[in-house]
Amino acid sequence: MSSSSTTTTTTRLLMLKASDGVTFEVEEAVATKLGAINNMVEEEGSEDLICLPNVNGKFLGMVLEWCKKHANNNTNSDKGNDEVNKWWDKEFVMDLDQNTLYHLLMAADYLSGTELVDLLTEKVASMIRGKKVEEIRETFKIKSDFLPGQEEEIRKKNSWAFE
Amino acid sequence: MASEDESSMKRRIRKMKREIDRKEGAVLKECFKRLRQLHDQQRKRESKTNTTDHQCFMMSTLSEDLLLEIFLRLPNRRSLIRCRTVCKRWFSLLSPPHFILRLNQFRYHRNQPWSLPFEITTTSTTTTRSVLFSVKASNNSKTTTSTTISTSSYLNFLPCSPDHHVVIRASFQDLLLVSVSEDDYYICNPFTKQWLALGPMEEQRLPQDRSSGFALVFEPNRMLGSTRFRVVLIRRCLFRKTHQRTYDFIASVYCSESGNWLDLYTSVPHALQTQYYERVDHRDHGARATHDVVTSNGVLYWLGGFRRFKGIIACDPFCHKEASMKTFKMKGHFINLPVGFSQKRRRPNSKGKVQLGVVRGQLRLLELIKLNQACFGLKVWELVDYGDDIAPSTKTPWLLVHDVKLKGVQNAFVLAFHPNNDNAIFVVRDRKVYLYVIGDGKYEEIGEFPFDEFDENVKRRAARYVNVFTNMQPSWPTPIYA
Repeated sequence: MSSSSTTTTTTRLLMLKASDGVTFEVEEAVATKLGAINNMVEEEGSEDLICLPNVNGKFLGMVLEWCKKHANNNTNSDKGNDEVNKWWDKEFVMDLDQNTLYHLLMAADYLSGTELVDLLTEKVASMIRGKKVEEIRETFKIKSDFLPGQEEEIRKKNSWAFE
Repeated sequence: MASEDESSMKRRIRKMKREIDRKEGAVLKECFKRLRQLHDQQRKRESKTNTTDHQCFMMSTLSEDLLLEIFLRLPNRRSLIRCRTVCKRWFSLLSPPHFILRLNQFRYHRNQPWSLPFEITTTSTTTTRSVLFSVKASNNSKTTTSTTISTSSYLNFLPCSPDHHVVIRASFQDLLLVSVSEDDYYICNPFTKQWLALGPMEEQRLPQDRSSGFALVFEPNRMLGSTRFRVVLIRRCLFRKTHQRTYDFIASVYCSESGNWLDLYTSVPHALQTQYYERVDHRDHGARATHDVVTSNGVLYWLGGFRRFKGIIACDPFCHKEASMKTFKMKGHFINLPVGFSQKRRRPNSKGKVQLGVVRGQLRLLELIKLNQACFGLKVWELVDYGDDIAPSTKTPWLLVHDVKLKGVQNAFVLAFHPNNDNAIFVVRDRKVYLYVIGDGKYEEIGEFPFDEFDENVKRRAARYVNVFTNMQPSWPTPIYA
């Protein structure tokens, strides 16, 4: 939800430094969409440079891109924004390859970007949805490590799920 | 000269050395280059043939928490069960009860609470056949579908021959209590097709009494590990006219712990005036009166009284004292009917006009009265959070939540409460089933009520032969343990 006071306050800029030394200059309102940064800003107050040793610049950039869109859309107007956000979220996760998806997810989780974690986990779940066990394994390149017979037993017990 | 020779030789040697160095370096460089190429090739080949390890690393780098977050967002139980068979890690993450608890919490917080999908199962049972009409509502309760099928084919996974008379007697969440040829009882989950035969009652102590009320109930905190359940068959009940004012009833109770049927004798004190007493002839009424038992929070509720309704009996089948090896007593209490409830109602005609139900976990009582040729009055009360300890006679625990008129309606009966929406009921009107939104007065058509399945002379009083069960579909199908 947007508040009416955002227009009057001067925007403060924060420097975010990724693990590979890449820095990003972002508005405070954008960066504080991430819970972890919000906490740091509140705790440390005046500190303008924030080091994020666990996030690679490439993925930090993407996370911030997402934050920027959401922060901007939220300040514009109230209704219709949900739709815009949804549409934009859809675009955002549409063509992510698995590698990027996982790194983004871990970055978002590390930065406590709850909404983004929500979006990304939803995306991974959509990759599982409606798939057979073999298809799930293929999608995520997982090898079954069950002992022979174990898997059959689980299947037998829950045969209704495999019809 | 010698020195010159020496120095020139030294120079030549240095030059040669440098040359060798350069050549060596080039060779080494070449070697390194080849090695790197080989390495690259090998890596490429590896990543092509064996991406598994590489990608599996990706999946395993996800913390358990994130992986769980993903699983929580899967749409249904089918997907979840499938995920369990993917690998050992997924299997252990998706193991009940921990995961189910988390799933329930997640869904509760995420959706509006009480928005589980549900199914209203209506069985129309005459002496010869039993037809099942079901209304399914999905998560958002917007899509509602209805189907008609014969009960025996719906429950064809039960181990009985198709010519047996299969009747659904009670329901609890997604489980059904089913009787086959009157005396054999089964608990089953139509979704997973699991079932449990309850075994025979040791001896029919009261053979002349046919059961008049049926209930299946699980202990409320079973999510935390309890799988105790009871099956209660009410056999005989009456308001006793003695110096002590009591409502007495006899029931057969199946206890899941012992796997036995026990006899139950219970007296529930009440404070009704003597004018409410009635003489009961068991040959007459015992078999005919049926009690629709409703369960909420592990407590059974039903309307007491033969010719007229007198009150609601509430009893807790998990709170009992064993009187002997084969009999026990149950804790119960009596709830007076709300003020404004029509006392004239005769029980046999009351089906579809007076109903107990559970809405968002709370007990509700409904009364539909015909006011004139084209108008019905509808009243709905809710039992206000009612503990066992409050003396029932001292204050009225009822809250009148709806008091409306249904205009332009000549004939109608109520099928069921909407379990999630406290503003809606399912009604049958003009041969059709509607979802009726009480405040708006809107009817949403759901399907054709299977009137044609009734005998010609039964049709007019179809409501009497209808039994309705509301099945909440939990996020994980309730398992049945043998």
